[in-house]
Amino acid sequence: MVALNNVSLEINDKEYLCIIGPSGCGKTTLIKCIAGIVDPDEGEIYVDNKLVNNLPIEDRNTGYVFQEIALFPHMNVYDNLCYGPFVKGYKISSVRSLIEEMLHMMELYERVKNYPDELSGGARQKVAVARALVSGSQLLLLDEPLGALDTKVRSLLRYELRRLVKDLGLTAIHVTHDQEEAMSIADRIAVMRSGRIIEVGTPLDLYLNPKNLFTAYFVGEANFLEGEVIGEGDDYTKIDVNGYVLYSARKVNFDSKRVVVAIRPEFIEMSKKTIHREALKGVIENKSFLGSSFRFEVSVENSFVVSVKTQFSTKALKFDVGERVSIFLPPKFLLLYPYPEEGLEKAISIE
Amino acid sequence: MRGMSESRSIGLVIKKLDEFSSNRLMKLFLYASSLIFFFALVLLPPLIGIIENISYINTIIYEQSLLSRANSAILQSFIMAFLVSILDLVAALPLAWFIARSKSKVAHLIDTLVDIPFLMPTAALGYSILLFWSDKYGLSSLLGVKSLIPPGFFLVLLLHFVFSYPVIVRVMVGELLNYREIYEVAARTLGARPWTAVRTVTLPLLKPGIITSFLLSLARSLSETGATVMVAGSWENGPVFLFNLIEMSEAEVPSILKNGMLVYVSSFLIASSIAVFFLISLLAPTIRLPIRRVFPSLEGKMSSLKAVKLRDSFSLLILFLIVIIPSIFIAFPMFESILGGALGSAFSPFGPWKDYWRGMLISYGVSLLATLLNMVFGLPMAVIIARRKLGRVSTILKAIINIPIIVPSIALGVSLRLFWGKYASIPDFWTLLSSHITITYTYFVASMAAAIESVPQELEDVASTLGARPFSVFCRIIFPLTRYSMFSGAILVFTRALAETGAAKAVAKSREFWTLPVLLVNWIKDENVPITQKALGAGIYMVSSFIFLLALRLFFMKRKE
Amino acid sequence: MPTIKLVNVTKKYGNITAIKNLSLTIEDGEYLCILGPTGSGKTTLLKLVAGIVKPDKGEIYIDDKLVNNMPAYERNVAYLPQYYALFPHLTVLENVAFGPLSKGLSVEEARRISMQMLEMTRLAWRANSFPHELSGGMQQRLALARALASGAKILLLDEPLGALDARLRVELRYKLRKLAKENNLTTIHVTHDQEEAMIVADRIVVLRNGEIQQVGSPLEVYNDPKNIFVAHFIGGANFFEGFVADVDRYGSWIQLRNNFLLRINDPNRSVGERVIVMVREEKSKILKAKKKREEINVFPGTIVNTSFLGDFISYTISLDNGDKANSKVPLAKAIGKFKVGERVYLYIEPEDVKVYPYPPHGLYKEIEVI
Repeated sequence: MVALNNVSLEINDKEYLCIIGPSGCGKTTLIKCIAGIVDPDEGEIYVDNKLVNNLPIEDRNTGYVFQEIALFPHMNVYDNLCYGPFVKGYKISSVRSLIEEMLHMMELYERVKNYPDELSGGARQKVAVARALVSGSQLLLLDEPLGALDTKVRSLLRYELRRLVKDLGLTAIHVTHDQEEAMSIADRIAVMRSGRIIEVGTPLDLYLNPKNLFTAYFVGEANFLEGEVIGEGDDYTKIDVNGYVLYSARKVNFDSKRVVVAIRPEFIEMSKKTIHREALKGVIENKSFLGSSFRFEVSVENSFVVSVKTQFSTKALKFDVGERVSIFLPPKFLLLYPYPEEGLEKAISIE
Repeated sequence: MRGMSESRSIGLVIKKLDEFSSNRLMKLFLYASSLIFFFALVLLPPLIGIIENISYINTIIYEQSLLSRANSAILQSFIMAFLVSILDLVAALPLAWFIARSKSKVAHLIDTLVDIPFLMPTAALGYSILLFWSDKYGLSSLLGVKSLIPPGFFLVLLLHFVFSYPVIVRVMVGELLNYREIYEVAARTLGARPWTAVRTVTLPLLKPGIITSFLLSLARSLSETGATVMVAGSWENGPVFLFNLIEMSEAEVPSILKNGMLVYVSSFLIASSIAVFFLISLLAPTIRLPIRRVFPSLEGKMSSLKAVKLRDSFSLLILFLIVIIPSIFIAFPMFESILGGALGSAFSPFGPWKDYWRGMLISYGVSLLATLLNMVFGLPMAVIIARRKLGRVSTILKAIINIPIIVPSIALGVSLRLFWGKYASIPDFWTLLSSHITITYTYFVASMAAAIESVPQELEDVASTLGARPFSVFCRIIFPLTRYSMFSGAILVFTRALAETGAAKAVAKSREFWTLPVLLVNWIKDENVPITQKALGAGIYMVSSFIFLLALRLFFMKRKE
Repeated sequence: MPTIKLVNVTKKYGNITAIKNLSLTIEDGEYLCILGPTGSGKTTLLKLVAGIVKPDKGEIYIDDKLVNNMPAYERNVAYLPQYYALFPHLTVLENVAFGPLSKGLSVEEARRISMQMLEMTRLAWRANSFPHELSGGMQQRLALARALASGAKILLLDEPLGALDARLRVELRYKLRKLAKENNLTTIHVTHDQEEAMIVADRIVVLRNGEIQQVGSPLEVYNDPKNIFVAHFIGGANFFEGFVADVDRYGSWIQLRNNFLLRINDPNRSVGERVIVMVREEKSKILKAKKKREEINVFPGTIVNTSFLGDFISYTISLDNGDKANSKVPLAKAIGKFKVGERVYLYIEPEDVKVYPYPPHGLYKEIEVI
């Protein structure tokens, strides 16, 4: 099994980098290599321009937060926090102020005497982060740090994580399978699949202009349609999808005539009247409420189904299942990819 | 669809039992009978036997010399047990570490070798060690001395070290494999040297396992009789003293005094070992090892590859030199006597060999019966304990089922002899069987309870929501998932029963009821019996038990496929 | 026609009351979600219906029949625990056939039904594999196939998507609902993910400390949360502390911290009442400058953080009175528009404000989930 395949990546000082990808893509192996828990078979790892391949774990000075949290069950919160300085032979008095500051920042003051099994999941996670930081590391490696928590707790803690890293001026590498988590806190995101990094960019870049079909699928929701290029103009491309003509504002920069068209559901415009000359006609097959928006599945003349997201509004409330609507796919949001050799389904499969 | 055709072939029976199983009365009957079995046959007879006859003790208070000999023997029991357990722990932990963590094939081989002293009947093991260290036949002749280590304290120490060693390795390998190594990795990312991480994180977390293995080792050392008698010389601990006392003739000590002494030493041993065990298991978990300081550079050196290699070589050396080679040394005289043509005489229907084969028949018969009864009545008990069917009572039961194995078996035997002895109509064979049931009961129930506990309750829940009745849940979920543990538990019971000397010696009123190990101890202690006969006797015993175990294993493994 | 009814049900574990005097009716063919934080009693509720645990008090009816004393194997209810509890020693096919065989069907019939279920869940090609050889998504489908094959018309799902990757989870929730509806099942689905609940459920039950906080359609629960906890747990919300300064015929004025005045459309408050007001994040609008039209409910502040959520961008505004608020703006309207450090206004329409009485133990205690 090849967990990592010839990966190259540079992380900047004080950057918050997220690594995302489906289970088994090698993202955890990657940060374990950086921490020294796993040795790479080939290649070099540099921290601060220093080759660290041969340094044992304890000399790498990385703060590692485990998915399993791994607080020492036989020590209370305070002793867990002291562990790093203690095993390095430091006097605890020399780090007391740092520990106090951590406890304060994390709002853990009342918990210092508690043992890990007496804490809630969220509090445990905070202690784990604090423990990694008290050891004095400037590089924080986070392996699915929020994976074991309730959704609500997760969505609150992720901002605290970012705030902490930024306030303390640290560099963080955060591994997650939750693309929403990554988008909301990362400066840059690296998308991994089958041991390779397939794309790196800012969250907005990856969302609006994913260079790779898999990225388009994995980061945010997208509709994918198979089509064929039937014409090209100066600033547009004309595509045939099951007999319907679509326009994209993007140029085809590859050879294949067979293409995959992708568009985010919230960029599709939907209305009861015909809104545009190029609009398609369809029937609403399904409607679900997402809180701040609605999501519809619209079947276009029984030929393909697209999902459409609209903001919560009185207008959106009035669309009902079974209703005939007209939808328009704005060319500037239409992404184009060469049709993958292995087929569309394989190309975006995550299992 | 293996599972399906199987369920069809025995479909009707299962269906009937299945309907029964949802009947509350049936359930009640099943659990009640296993509880009655435990209390009426396993736990209470030895306790009552002693308590009823406690007044015998009055007869001995003026026998100062015998009394002080008894007291010192009891003290020696505990000194030996603690010493051996500590030494074993120190020696076995690094080996367990090596087996659990090393990825090499050697580790796998070592893992198998470690079990040898555990699988050997203790009487044969004792003789092998006696020959190796002490007899002129073994190491002594090589070194040109009369007896390198003569029978006595040190030889007993070596013997007990050897038979407790596999127990500790086995338990600790299991604990280490279950241990989540992530704690150690976490410690190292925080800057701890490997040795520091082990000392401050791994060892404290492994404490429960260490305590368990320590207690098991303690129990074996306190209880072992047959092999200890062979190598004890003039040294005495509790069981040896009892053994010697039983051997004494009416002329040496009048029977009224003998009974008084037996009751005194047995009751003392039973009470003190129960007390020691419960004290340790209650107090030890609360002890915290002081972790005050670390020495980064020193502990860094101790973690170096060289230090680790040194440690591994040292523990392997101990394994081979002290444990394995002395254990299997008996093979030499055995083959020698076979080559010398002694095998023919073994099958002659006259002389000493007649007793030998009768002993073998008794041993196998008693062991098989004890195994079967313990399985039948122990299984519901294991369910009661594992699934907490009786709430807090289950917790208490879980603790008290350990009593039979923490009490020296010869003391149990004495007690049972007194208990059943007062009913003249009870055949001696029954007393023998009862003692074997008592001393092996725990092995099956405890291992089964652990196995059932490891099956997630959710599997049962889901099966029942899918429409499976309790009996069907047991047959189709619990049994297949614990089958291996059930067989290994049964095999453990059987080997223990087959090897038991102390209790068998205590309950056998005449030579007719001597089991094989009792007879062998007698042979080996008898200087008039030639070494060829001793070695052959021990050898046939050992080989027969190996073959039997192998056959059972093959049979069950085939079933498992 | 499976309907499920719980009447005044209480369940205790030792000193802990997992379910407190709970009453609930689940209609035939309904897809109901139980939503709540860890330890709110969600799983216990499922186990009570499944018959795995028995209530200490109260009655449970399935199809108007009292089932308190009916053992699980007679209830005909399919239960899927969180990590599926697939039988590790049985093949995929044998796992699915477990139910039909337990119910006394012949081997041939059991195999036929099982294969049918495996085909439906696209697992037929793995019929002879063992569960541990399957991927996470396949294991989940197998658990569903096994549940459906038992012929049960009631499906109890405990965090059915919790063990899967986030991306897969999003995809499968639509499929889960479709499967339940196509097979006419009455479904109870337990989750702590509010988005998941809103997408799959006909109705949502919000549970906290063993007590029902609110029952309603996703739209009702989101738009009209009955209390602060529900408002916080479902969707993003801004909370402000204040008191009622004035009441007139059309509404009231709430005085927030540092004399910020907020107009609301609720005239039924009493002056001086201490309250908490709540506005959804997407209804908390962000303005570059004040316009004529919006003279009231406009509060100055500074953007201190932006966070990208995909179809929305969330801005955190530190208001000049010391309060903080999040504003969610659709991506298309937000790209390149606001920056951290920029001075802006927060605008709230009076009709979008919900008012709650000030909780006895303070706001923080009420919304604490960590």
